[in-house]
Amino acid sequence: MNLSPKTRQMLVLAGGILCLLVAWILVGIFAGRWKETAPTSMAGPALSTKDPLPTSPPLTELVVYLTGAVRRPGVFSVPPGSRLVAVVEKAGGLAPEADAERINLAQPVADGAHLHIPRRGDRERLAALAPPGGGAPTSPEDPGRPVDVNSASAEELEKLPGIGPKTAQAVVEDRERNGPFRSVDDLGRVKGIGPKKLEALRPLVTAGP
Amino acid sequence: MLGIMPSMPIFLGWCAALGALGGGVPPLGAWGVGMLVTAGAIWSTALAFPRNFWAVGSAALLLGALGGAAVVYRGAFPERPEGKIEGEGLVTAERPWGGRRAVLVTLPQGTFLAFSSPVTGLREGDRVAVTGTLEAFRRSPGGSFDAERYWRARGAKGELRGASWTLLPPERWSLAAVRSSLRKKILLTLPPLTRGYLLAALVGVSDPDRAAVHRRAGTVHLLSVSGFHVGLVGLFGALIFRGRGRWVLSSVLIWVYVALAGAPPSAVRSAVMAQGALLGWTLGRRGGITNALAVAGGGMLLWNPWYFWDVGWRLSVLATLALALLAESRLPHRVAGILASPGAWIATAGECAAVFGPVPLAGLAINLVALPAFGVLFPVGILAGLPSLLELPGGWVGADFAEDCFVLWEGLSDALVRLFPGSVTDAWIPTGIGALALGTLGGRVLGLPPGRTLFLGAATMAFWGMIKLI
Repeated sequence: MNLSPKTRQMLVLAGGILCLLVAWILVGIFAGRWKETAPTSMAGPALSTKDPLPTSPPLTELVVYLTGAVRRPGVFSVPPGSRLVAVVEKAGGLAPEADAERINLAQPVADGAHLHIPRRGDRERLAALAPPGGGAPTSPEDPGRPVDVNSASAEELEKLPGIGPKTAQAVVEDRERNGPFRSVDDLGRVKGIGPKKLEALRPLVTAGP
Repeated sequence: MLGIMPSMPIFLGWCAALGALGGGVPPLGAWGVGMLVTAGAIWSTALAFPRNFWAVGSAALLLGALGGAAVVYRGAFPERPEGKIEGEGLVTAERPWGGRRAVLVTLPQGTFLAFSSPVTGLREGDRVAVTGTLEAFRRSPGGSFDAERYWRARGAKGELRGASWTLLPPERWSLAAVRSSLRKKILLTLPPLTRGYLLAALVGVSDPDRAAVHRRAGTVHLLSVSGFHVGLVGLFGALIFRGRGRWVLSSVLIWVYVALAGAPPSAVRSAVMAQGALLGWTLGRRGGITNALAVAGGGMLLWNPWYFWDVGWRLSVLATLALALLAESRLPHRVAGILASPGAWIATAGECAAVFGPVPLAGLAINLVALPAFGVLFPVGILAGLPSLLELPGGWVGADFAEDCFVLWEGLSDALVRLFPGSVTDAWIPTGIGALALGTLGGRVLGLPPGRTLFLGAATMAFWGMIKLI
């Protein structure tokens, strides 16, 4: 078929435009029709309330509990926005045995946080990484691995001394209702955990992010 | 398009296919969309029909179809290893992640993501023995952030949960160990601003304070290793190496730099392009920049289709596309040079606004001076900070000088921000303008008549808009 260059150009152009148009329509029709069926762990729906939550007044100071390889472990107050280095300085600085490379001194600190400075050699033992909010990697059966009260299941909490099924369930319900425990001290708000039990639990638990 | 930038229709087709797939178009349909876009791009921009037009066109379509099938399949059905895992490997990356630290660990079975407490976290370069459970990446249905896309673009295959780690004796010369050691040296020996800039330029680590300053100024791209940085290194190589082997040595220097910077997608893309350009010069064959971009981008999508969803890769491709089209648009060099920075800003503003929030208008003006300024500031900062990094006596003099230079820049940048206080908050309008501008510029490069140039601009806008909408 002998077509003039002009006609051929117009036909090819029309073909090109048609292709783009069909592609555009295909996307419009089929968008959202396909979802991967592969197993994927889905995070639960975000918590929501009908009424806006009352806003808390801005913090004027952060209170942080610092333990481990510092000269004077304890509870310290620092201005909002402070970094870990400021708290370490308040605690008299790092102890000679502190493993300074294992910590991030530039890390911002949160109010009510319990921070622990590791000693050199700690890392050569088995260490646990905190899980991303899901299943707990911690277990009371492993010495040196505190149970994270914000991620441990009721069964795992039951293995702690003085915690029965009811109290374990109360811990789980409390964190679901009121949000994660910001520090180990927050466990005191759970029915069934008094000051004495809290002190007994303190070395065995941690309140992870 | 087939004559001037033959790889571009294929690359556009793969991008359209992945965009459609990301919008929930079934894999076969997404592959079809890619094919149609490749064919549409070839035919709607054809002006002349030499004897080999149909042969070359068919070859491009075939390549587009085969490659498209590969990228769509790998994007739709990625490998998802699950169950218990045990092995020895290397921590290849770690970075802050909210209140925790995200860690990438490379084992014989692949690279996996894990999260650690900020206090007990592992360091890049650590050799570890690990046992844990592999699971799919967690998704947050309410949020726009897709963890799977983000981490797969960084090579991770799954998430390691409930892991126990044992630290093994360190490997002295692993890349990760060298990166970690350099990072530590920079952190411990340099003053704050120099530290932040050198961390960004040399090891690809973002300093939150520097990032905040540059976000206000719309110049945050300077802190991500990309074409600008790779270009500086290539230029440095071309200046210091002499003789017949200079291109080989320059290539080695570029790849060593990209590896040291953590090989982010934008840097890899730039290095592939720079490598192509160096090879072209060596062989006496200069290729088109836009075509080189399509080859580099397409090659990366074949290697790992998840790069398509990496915002750094996208911004890098868009900015380079704007620069490449301007360079090839037959505008006078001076005009193209002046338009380069605003062009890159316009091309990326929509994507930036959608991902990072308001984009400061000040960026339009500041980028005009920021790019040449940092072309000098980065080398000066590195050279002046080197004695301090090497812990030489009196090294602080150089470090202080570098610090003063960076302080001066930040003061100037803040003054310019105050002069242009507005920002772009809506993502749609700049996305539309950016697409229209790129399409129209593309039409000019291809030498299309005004009507078809306008059509190409409108088609780019319509497709880009559709992909963003779904």
